[in-house]
Amino acid sequence: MLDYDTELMLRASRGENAAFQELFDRHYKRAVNIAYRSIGDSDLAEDIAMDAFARIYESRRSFKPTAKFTTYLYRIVVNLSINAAKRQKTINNINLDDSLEIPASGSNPGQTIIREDLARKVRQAVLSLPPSQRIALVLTRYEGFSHREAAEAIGTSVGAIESLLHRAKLNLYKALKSIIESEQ
Amino acid sequence: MRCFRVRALLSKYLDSELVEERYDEVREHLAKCSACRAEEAALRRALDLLQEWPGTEPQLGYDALLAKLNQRQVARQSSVLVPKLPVPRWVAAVMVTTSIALGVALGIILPEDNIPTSPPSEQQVASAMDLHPYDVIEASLIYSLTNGDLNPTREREPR
Repeated sequence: MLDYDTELMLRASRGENAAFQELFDRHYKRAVNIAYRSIGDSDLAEDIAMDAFARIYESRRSFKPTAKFTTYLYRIVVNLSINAAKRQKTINNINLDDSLEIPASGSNPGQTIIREDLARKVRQAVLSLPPSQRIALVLTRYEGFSHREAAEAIGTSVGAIESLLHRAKLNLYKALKSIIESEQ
Repeated sequence: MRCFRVRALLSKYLDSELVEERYDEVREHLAKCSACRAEEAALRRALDLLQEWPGTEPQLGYDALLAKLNQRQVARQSSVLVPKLPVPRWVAAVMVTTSIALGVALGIILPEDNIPTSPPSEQQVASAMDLHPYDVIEASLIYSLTNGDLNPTREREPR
């Protein structure tokens, strides 16, 4: 039995644009956030998510429900994000001035500043990971993918994901060590 | 279970990806081993800190996607207007480079005798243009008269 998203995609492949719009509304934000946490730049993340949906729309007539729609979508987003992350690494242009959307902590501006500072350090730590480790961590820790789902999205084996995640966590700990030790 | 084995499984333990039996073994070891417990706590804290980096709220919507699709269609149509080469671009590049190299090589290899070194004589020009000898004489006379070679009223310049 097909899941709801795949059914929507099949309807879109038969020319039903409302079905495609519903898919967009259901998954665009998540696609943007996968790209955002993989590359650290919100404008570029929107470009990537838009590009992924545009590609899917343009090839909708040849869509075959061999896998879940979400696997198909996130695989495209992940591939585009990995390519963008590699380009960033080459030209070292991660946009770290990008403003962070920290929810205000009531009436305490001091607390908001501390949280913003912490958020920047965490972002820096995540972006310091190699692209493949970073994306494996983003999918499992931010998006709640299982190891198998993350492997499908990245297009690799579960064993390879486990290895990437093991190294990613050790590297993340090293990057955040000063914060963790200062709390103890 | 030994410490090195537990530490190798910590990543899957933290992601709740271990089978129940293995999960219980790791948990029992952590209850007894303070060093492994400290490592597990440090990694767990690092992963908890990830939640401090908030996501982003998208600024664009479905209309932006429609605009992008239109843009891509226009770009594809304009690229169709540019005539495509009948061969791949790299083949065309090789052909052009080979032609230039061949021209240079021929210029070097060919003997210099084939290159004319002096201007052709009047007779050679006349025969090439299929002119009668009288035409040549007539043309020479007219040229001389207009330039003063046979004009008695014009003074010759001293040599």
